[in-house]
Amino acid sequence: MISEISDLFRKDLIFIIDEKNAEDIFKNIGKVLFNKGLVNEGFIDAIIKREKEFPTGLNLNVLDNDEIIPNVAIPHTESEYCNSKNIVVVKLKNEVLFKNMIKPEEELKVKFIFIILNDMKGKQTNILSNLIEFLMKKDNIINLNKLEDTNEIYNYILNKT
Amino acid sequence: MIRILAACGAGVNSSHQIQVAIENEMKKRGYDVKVDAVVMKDITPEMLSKYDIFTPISKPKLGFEIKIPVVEAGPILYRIPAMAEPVYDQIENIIKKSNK
Repeated sequence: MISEISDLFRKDLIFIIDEKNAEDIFKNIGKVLFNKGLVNEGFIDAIIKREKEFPTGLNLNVLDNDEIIPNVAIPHTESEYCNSKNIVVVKLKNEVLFKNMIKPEEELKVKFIFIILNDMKGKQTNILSNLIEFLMKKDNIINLNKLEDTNEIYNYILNKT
Repeated sequence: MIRILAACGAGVNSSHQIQVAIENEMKKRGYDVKVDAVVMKDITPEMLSKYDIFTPISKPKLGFEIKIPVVEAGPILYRIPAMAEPVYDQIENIIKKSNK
């Protein structure tokens, strides 16, 4: 089931960066995606705006867990700003605040960003649900958090999706 | 038939997932429902008046008074029963009260 999304990850679309806020993350990664031709010039502004209006932080500690799981965000924007179908993985050296997708008044410290790129309207549904299924498997994010190398992160995700 | 309107930021991702999940679960519980998914910013009072229940991803800020029952459906997206069940139960309670 999840294997539907494994093709969407790419070795060169895994990043480990240090930024202070969501906007800086989108500017930094957005520029790289633009240079690779994966998004158009409207993407950065669009995703910043979307995240402000409809945040995408996911609290992964909604169930009782023995250990705290780092939270994630799953930013995405309208298909018109994307030229491809991919999932971009960003690990943050230091946590950044995102608002909770289902409770926008609540702020979450986020350690991983999974940016969904999709140039096909209406086809993002399965990507989103499959990605969330991967994220909700408790050990996945805990294990990813221990990896400090983008190749290792890529290989781990490929094994688990 | 009960008509339900789901909504999120882009109208294709989260709301579509909410749409499918509610339709499946309510059918399983024996109710005749039809769920549509839209972009939050496209919603008008006229559009809402055609529905029995509104299920946005989170607390809606539409800028006008919502006259139908609202159930925040975001927890469904987590794909775990412990989060989704309370949402389905709320929807079922509203359907029962509506006598449709």
